[in-house]
Amino acid sequence: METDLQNSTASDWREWFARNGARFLLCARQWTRSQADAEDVLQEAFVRFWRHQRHLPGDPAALLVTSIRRAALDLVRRETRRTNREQSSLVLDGEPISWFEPADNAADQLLQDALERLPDAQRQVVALKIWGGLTFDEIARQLDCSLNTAASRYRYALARLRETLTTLNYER
Amino acid sequence: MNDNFTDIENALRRLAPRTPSALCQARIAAALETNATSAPASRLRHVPILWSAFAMAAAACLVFVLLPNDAGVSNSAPRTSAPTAVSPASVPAAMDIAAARRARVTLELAAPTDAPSTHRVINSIEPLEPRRTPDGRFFQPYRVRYLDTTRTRSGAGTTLVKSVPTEAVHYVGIDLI
Repeated sequence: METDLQNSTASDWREWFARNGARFLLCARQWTRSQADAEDVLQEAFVRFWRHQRHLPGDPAALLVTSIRRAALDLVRRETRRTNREQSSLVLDGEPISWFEPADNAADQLLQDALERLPDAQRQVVALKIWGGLTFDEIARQLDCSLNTAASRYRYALARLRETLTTLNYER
Repeated sequence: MNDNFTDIENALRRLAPRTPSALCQARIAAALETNATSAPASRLRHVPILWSAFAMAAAACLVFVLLPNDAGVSNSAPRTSAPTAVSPASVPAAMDIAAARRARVTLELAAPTDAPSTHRVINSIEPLEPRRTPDGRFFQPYRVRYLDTTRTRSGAGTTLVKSVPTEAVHYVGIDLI
């Protein structure tokens, strides 16, 4: 990820977002119920990060992911309060929009499907590691778990993905 | 540890996460543009909330006492020329948020009635699609529904209470609030 962004202009940050927004949208998707919610969360988190934290030194990924997680939790609280207040029947499942662009080949499609079927805790670690670009230490702090737990979840997730892909390839 | 899973990790990195929608990108771009020209937030962080609220209320009172009524809020479209509807994405996000937060106060202050004996209560405020005049000013229209109640005392010691629902569209200049 680019460094020395502290003195960048709004235009530089807009370009940065155009290059990296998809990765962080996927991170936001881990804690939201729909693609639309994820976009709202990403917008709120990015603008908040840009206003208050863009001048801080270092890689902005960890700060931005922290901001995303906080915005997602805020959204969940707001939605819960609204649901309780209105006593309405919200549709709890998000719309079936894929987290990824359409795959070019069957193997990538299988991998996407397998990833979306992982348990939440494992999938979050994979998303933060692969697309968020965080270290295990940073992931552990994001998810309130130990470093060993984060690393284990990652290892289990990849093992499960490999197992799923092997099985599906064999069945085909 | 990772060496054993290099193939899976490489395969995952090949997947392309879905890009944010054009609307999302436009809103973020608008927010960045708006905030790039405003004061850094850190300078405002230590201003006590009560002082901010007081200053806001005082400013709103001054605007509506000293200026003609249609300077900030009007019952019809802005006079400069016909406003055109704009998508919410093109309205600077920070202004939009500020408008949403303060519109109720502003509209309540600007809710005169034709008859001074009529008591006006706002029933609902519904934000409509933002509009923009050719000279670049943004206006946030609000459809406001009122209940106007008039009490008339008769000579026999009775009171006639007449309640009439009305509604009007107010254009709030976003730059003013």
